[in-house]
Amino acid sequence: MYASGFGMRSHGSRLVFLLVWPCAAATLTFHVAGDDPGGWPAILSSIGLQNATVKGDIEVIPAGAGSAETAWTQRVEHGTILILEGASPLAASFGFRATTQHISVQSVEDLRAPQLRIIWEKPVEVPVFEVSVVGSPNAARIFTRERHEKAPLVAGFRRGSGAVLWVAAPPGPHGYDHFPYLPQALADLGLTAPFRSARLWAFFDSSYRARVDLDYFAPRWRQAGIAALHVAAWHYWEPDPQADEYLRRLIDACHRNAIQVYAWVELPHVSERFWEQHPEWREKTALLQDAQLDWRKLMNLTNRAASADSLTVSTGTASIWPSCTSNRSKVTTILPASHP
Amino acid sequence: MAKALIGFILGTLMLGAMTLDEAYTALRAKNYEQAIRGFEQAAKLDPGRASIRKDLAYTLLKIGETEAARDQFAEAMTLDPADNQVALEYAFLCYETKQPIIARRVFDRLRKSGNPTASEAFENVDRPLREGIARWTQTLELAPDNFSAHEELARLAEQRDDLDLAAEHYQAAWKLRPARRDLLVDLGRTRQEQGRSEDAHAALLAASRGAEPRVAEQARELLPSRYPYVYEFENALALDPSNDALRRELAYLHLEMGNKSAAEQQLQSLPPVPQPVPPPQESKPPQDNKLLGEQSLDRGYLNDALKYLHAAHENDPMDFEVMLKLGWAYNILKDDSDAVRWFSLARYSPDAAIAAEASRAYGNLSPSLRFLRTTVWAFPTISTRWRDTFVYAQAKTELRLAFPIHPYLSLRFIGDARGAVVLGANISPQNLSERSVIAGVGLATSTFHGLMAWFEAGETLRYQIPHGQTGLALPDYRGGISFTNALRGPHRLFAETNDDGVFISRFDNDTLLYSLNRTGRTFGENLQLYWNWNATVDAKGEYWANTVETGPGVRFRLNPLQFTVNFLRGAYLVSQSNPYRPNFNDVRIGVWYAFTR
Repeated sequence: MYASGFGMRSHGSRLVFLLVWPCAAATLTFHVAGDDPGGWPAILSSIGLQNATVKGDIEVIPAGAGSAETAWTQRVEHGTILILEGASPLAASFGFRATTQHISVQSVEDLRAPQLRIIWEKPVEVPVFEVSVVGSPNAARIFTRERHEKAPLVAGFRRGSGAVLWVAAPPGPHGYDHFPYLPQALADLGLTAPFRSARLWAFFDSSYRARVDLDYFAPRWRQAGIAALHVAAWHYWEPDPQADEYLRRLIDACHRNAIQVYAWVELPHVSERFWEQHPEWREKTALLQDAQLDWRKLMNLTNRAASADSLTVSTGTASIWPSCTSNRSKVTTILPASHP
Repeated sequence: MAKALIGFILGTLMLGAMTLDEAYTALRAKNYEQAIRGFEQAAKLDPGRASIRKDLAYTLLKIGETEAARDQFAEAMTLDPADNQVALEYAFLCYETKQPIIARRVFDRLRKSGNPTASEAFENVDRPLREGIARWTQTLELAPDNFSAHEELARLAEQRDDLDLAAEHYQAAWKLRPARRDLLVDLGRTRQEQGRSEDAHAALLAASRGAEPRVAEQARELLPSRYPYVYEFENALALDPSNDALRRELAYLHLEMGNKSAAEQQLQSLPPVPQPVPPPQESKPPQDNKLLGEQSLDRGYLNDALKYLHAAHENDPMDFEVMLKLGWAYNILKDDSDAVRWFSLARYSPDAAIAAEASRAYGNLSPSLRFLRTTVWAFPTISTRWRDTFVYAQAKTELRLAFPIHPYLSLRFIGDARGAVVLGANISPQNLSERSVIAGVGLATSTFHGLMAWFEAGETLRYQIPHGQTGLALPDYRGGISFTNALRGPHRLFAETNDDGVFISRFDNDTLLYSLNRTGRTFGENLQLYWNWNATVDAKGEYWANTVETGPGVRFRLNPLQFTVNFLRGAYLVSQSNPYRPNFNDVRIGVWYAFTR
């Protein structure tokens, strides 16, 4: 999901957003020139923009599509975000010029996440572009390039209160086929998505955040619109002073920032220790081997003794969650949250 | 000049110190971003100082930048190799950020210098690898063509730096499934690590020319940037002779080089008719569905696994491996009726390993789902008290209906070696010693909270009639209730009870109540040590049916058999007609065997 204005270094990377509840915001529109809009409507409507029939706040000129507009520079200066695709005189006028050299693009490097392997299903032949900005005080920023030859594929710059975003090739029929970070590039160029939620739920696994400063994170989560955190509870199934202290600090930090905290359980996985201590309660597959799915180790909680024991442990853990119920029949679902 | 240089150095150092001060001030104020900027700048000004990298790394950890922190610890470790703490941090973060091979290597180095934390961490990383390798090796001894075993073994061996083993099994896995081109990349990478660059090049070149763009791209990244030589193409083709794209490219290369005859030779080796180009389609190709299904299953996304595997089955209804995987997905979802159906289909796979696995799974699951279920059990027991060996056995075929009462046919066998005991080993009423075969029909309820009831009517056929008695065949009516429960405590302590009330017409319409109780501890998966607390009473007040006994016991399993050895001290509660002493000792050794079909 797309969220702008986090103001931090990928803090959301370990959080899985569960629910988005959009709030009303100013309407922004887009318009795609020509008869074949390609994947652009999918991209732009995914961030809440509405399709306009004539003119939009964002104007897209796909490769080969003509445009009757002549005053693009002025429109950009006055706030339009212009998206240009491929080689065209208009793209050249904004400094994106095709050379005679061509390149087959299949592996792409997005500078936002250079480690991420973006490999297109089919290679696309594109000209190698020179990116220079004529008459602009700001140099264009390269967002995406071919991984090996470093030829620019997505670039843009701000001008006045608008911006120009250029892509060397179409984004693909689904919108995310070639350049998955186009919405982020638009945000970098000044687009504020016309929606915001302050009621997001996020999943939190502390094993990825064992040494972070929770007081640093909690306000940023709240600022990003997170209202409730579902915390992986299997790390806290058995009492452990260090882990319990971490959980207390997490809950306290969240509560100070008006974030509810829920325990997320993955029954019939309970905990590593429970698995080790009770081999007799392990689920068995049809080959009579222990049932283990990736990290989840399945226990037979329909066995009354196993169920009772797991509940005994879980209710012990539940005491750390301030308003958690200890109702045994409810433990198989998410434990109710405490209220900040 | 010298003064200028000294001035520059001093200026740089002072600037560095000021920047560092600001970084620490920001850190104390928990202004982590500013602190990081300061540390980064200070590190640029004084690149040889490990402590700056170290503090930068710790600050990055505060804001959750684990990978960046790991890289800073790596820098610090390079700058100060003697700092074991830094090396440990680096190793832990490598493990956390999915670089287990590096983590293991660093832990290994540190443990050899006597670091106890590193030793423990190394063991935690190494033990599962060791055990996994042993397990998969054993699997391969039984099923040499088991693809998963080859693949898993290769991955574990690579993580354990056993590169010869890894390469061997990557290659074996790929030979079994040539469509898994990613295994060629794995093979190439392992060969590179081994220093076998020509072999590595061959595997990677073969992988780089194929239908899977992601795999091809991964291979290209490991290959040198130069264009391959002819002999490298030939090596790759020797490894992967069916790679038409590779062969075609070699042919064109020969043409470019003016080697027309060599080019023609390669072109002639291509299939006579060009492979038809599949029409563009929206849906994923079949292999993707299968792969996605397998990956979803491995990761535990079972509903996704079902979706992809069903799609894969539609694409290729004769892919028995997909059928097997569908069986597993349903089995883990506890939908065994569907699981059995897929296992049943997969049993007919021409691949012996798939067929064997499916047959075993089918054999284990299907009895519980059949309408007619036959259970056979046998319980030979040696008793020192009676100086005899008793054999009790039953074959029972039950009609399983949705209704909670199940009719059944039963054939019991009761006998002993010496024929010395006229009545009772005092183990259980249906086990009383008498040398008979009892055929009967009965009704049994389903078990509810450990409780069940049953009734049986039949005929006892005595193959040896006791002295003083007559009648080869006698009517036999029996029935009762049974209760079983087990409690588990901490430290693997347990308590269990088996309580039965049984009416048996042939024993003068006697009713017996007996209770077998055990309290003890479980060790491992197959061993229990416990204490027995047993009691038996009956309605008629027979001496042999009114006893208490207690003593230690052990129960252990050597699949498919379960052994019990009990050392019991007992007392008769009724002395009338008792020809024996009021107390008795008994060492009772039993073997339990059962199966259901």
